[in-house]
Amino acid sequence: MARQGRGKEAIYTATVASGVGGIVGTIGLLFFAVPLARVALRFGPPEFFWTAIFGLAIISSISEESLVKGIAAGFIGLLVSMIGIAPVGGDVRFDFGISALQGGVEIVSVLIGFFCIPEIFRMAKDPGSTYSEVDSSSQEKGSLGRAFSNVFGHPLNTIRSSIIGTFVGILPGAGGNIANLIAYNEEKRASKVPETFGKGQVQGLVATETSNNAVCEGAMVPLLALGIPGSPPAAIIYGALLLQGLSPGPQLFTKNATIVYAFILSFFFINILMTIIGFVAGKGMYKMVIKVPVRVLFPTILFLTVLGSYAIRSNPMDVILMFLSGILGFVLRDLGFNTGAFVLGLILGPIAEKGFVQGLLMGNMVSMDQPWIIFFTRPLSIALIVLSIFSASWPFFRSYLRKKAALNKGAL
Amino acid sequence: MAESKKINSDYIGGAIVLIFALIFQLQMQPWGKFAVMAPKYVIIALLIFGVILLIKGKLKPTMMDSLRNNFNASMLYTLVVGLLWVFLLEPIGFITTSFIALFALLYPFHPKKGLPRLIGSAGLAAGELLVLYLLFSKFLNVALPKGILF
Repeated sequence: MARQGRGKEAIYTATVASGVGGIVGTIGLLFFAVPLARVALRFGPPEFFWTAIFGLAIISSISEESLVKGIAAGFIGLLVSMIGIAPVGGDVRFDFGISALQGGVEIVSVLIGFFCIPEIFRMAKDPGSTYSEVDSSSQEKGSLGRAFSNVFGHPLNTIRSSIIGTFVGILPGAGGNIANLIAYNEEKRASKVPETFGKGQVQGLVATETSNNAVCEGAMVPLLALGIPGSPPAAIIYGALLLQGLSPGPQLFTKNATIVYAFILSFFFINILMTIIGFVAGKGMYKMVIKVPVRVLFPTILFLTVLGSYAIRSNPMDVILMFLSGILGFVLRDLGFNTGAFVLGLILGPIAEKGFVQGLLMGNMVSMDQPWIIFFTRPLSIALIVLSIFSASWPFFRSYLRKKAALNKGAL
Repeated sequence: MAESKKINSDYIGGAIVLIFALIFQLQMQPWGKFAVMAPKYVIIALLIFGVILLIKGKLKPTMMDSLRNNFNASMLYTLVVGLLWVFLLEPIGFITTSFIALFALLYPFHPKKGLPRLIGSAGLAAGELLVLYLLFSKFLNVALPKGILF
């Protein structure tokens, strides 16, 4: 969008969408915390496995240019996610004799590398250019109004993405990255112009921003209702609540209802405040960043990627992996591989593997001869299988429908 | 006008996929039953898709601009500086490597020449380093690598 001179509109839209996603998530938390936590409790290893497969099925939608390359990239991501300690059994795998790899690959570092380093290389290709060359003056007028229209003018996308974010947030181990991918894919699938996604289609931005903020409130559901912190930030809040003498869990809503509901309501305030700060800071920062020449911008971004990937675990190996994965991402993208598919494999790999192995262990309790049968007999698993098949086959179905429509048009 | 050189991206892509699968296959060890299960299937799948890509490259190739066409000297320079930066970060130290790397990336692309170029690049590198060092080290308490030279 910035390349089209719509950078300001993008920032405003992201801010409004984030605020709305957070507020919808808070409503979900306020009214449905206890029933949603009960549904989440019914998710066992087979359901987590199928949830991961459902996520991986998105590859068929995002790899329309080359499905084989998309699937191969997904498998490379799955393989990289297996570096480190095995989720069941505790064996150290694929450490290449480097002790720093025994803890596994830090997903955020790899993501930083995969998405930032190729962009840094592209900036380095022409360091003398500036972003202000794009004439954005005519596009900037009315950006705020368009941002609200982008979010509230497409309520189906906004609400659907918020619900996806809230529900993904409830599932332990899942997070904003998965919610983003699912919400983006669902919006792309629902869109009449899916080919515009990734080329400045603002509804893709609305879907991702709405869902990843709703995740935060979703993650509070198992924490408050069951006492299960499903993500690192939820674990920190768990600690903070314990420090205040509150014990998260089923009794929290009856024993400390006033404080719990005040805590939940504070999310409304946080999201409104975040939106206001987003408007003010986003506008200022956008104007500042756009004025910085590319020759200064790309070394600064590289510096931030080095610092950011190191700061996560204070592990220099994360910085090296960040940069190497950036080079891999650059080469793969140039060869027509979908880097989103790699990322999907990397994020969903551990969830899929853990669900698969634990599911088989569970299956042994049902049938020693056919332990895999457990993956196909539970109602939630069946629903997820149907969703996965639908998600994987939708691009082919859509293509068939389009061809048929074109033929009909030609016949008329 | 000379025609830009095209490459068969399926061949190169297939080769990369196969190399990935073989590197990981060589790292396979007699782990426990549950640890070996998933990697085994994924490696087999990768090998299959690598071969499919090679076959596709033979039958219906996807031709793309050579990687060399998309890569120029300043990108290669950034790549080398970046690699040196991340590999020397721990042994040399955060402050020294970051200052040198930032200076090395800023200096060649500075529009002025002579002393203003030197002072401008060094000043900007030092300023960025100071702000981010203070932010991460002092404010966020991140223990940055000290190495042999800080």
